[in-house]
Amino acid sequence: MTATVVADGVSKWFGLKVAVSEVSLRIGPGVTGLLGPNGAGKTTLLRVLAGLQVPSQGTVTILGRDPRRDPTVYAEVAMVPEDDAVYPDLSARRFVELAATLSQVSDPGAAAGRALDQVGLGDVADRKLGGYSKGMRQRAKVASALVADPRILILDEPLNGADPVQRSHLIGLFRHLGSTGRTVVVSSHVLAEVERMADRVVAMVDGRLAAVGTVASLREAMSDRPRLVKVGCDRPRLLAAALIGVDGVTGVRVFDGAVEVEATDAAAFARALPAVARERQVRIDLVEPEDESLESVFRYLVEARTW
Amino acid sequence: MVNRTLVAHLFRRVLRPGRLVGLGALAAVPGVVFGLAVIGRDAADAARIYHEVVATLTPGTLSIAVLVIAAAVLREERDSGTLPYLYLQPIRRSVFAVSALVAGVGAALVFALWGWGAGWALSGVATGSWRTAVPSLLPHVAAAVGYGVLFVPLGYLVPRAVLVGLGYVFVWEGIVATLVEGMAQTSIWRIVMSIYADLTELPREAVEVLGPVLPGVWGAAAKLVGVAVAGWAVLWWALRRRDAL
Repeated sequence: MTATVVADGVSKWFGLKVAVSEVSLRIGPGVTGLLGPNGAGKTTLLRVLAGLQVPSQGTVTILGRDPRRDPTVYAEVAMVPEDDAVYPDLSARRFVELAATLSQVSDPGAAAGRALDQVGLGDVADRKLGGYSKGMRQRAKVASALVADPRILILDEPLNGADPVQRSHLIGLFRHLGSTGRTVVVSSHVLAEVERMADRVVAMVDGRLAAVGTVASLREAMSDRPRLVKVGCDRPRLLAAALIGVDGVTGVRVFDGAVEVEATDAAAFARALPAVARERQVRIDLVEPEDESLESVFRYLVEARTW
Repeated sequence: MVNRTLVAHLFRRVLRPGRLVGLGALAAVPGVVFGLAVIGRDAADAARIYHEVVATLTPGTLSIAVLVIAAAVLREERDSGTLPYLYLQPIRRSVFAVSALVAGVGAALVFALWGWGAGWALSGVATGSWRTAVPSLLPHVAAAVGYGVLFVPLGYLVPRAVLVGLGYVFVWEGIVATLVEGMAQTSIWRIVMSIYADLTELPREAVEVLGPVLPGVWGAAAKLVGVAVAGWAVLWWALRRRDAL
């Protein structure tokens, strides 16, 4: 892989708070998902990669150049920031034209029209951004990033506020851009979303890299993680006693009307549970994972270092 | 040296209607005060009062108008989260810095010329001479340039730039530079007044404001060029070395 975006030992701290800690990664063409729970340091890392923030330690290069020292690299790099910030008194067309003119695109008006069509805003491009919904503003921001046809796109939570149809459209657009040789880095805290977009995932938690690899390898690593599952039933003590002997079950706690099960092999447990319940004539009314948050998944990955 | 699109964008954004009205009213205060003060006075008195108003009241109004407008040029972009749309563009930081300064000074000139124009019109009516206020045009322009190049970088670097700027205007220029003789050279207003004193016969009270700063257009121009270069260098450094958010 030819790396277009390289971070080498990058840390960023604000006073005593460390937002990003010693991150080294190489990102090449295609779509790379930056995944992590809220507060993991994704936005700070993307800002540092884009050159908006200075790394406290380490170096960043884009296309072999340091964006802080050589802003001409921005002719080939664009970013969609996470903040819902636009110029409310500008129309989407003027907003995108501004980006095109500043990027020295040869025909800013035509380029803006094409970019707005790409994100599906062509028909409403002359309306002021202040009157747009959040999803439409997001798309206007994406259009402004696309207008100079950059080789590298850094997108910070670009699907925020978009409805399912818009999400699907944008995901398709990002995949298309990735497939045409551009480097697309997309952050999200939703695993399923990243799974639809990215071939490769960089997972972060607490400012550190938790995992780098394919989506499949992340799924595999997650499947080994002990899970806590709450099972609601009419005879919890009987069910708990029966589950202790099941393969992959490492702990059981009994509550009023429910059993909390810790399972190292969630799939095996899911297969065994109906048979055990039938055998002991226990009626099950609820099966619910207790710790499925992305944060708990990533904490496990960091602690286990299974990748 | 200048990115015209960036200048036009920053200029338009900072001169929004509410600000135009509010700061326009502030910049016109010396003219209004002069108009009220000369009612029933003869032409000689009116000319003397005009010079006094420019020397003593204008620094307190024009400097604040310029402070608010110039400090907002980049601060507003930072605070509203829109700076990345300008910063992440293939524009050299040295050019970016010049463009921001030009936009800030340009916006400041709007109020400087408006304030001067109001005073000029009223002094013309009051004194019967349309030449009384002419020598004060250059000082108004110089004030827009001097304060503008100082407050644009301040706005970029400091979140509460207006508060810090008011400290400079009232505490530093108003008190420190008055009490400590050597500090008078660091006062933008005294540099500006040294131009005025060179161009016209000022009343004694107005000349006393200058302290040890000698009257002279070219000396003041050289100092303002120095301030402008320093402002540009600080902003260039900040754009390269500091976080843009």
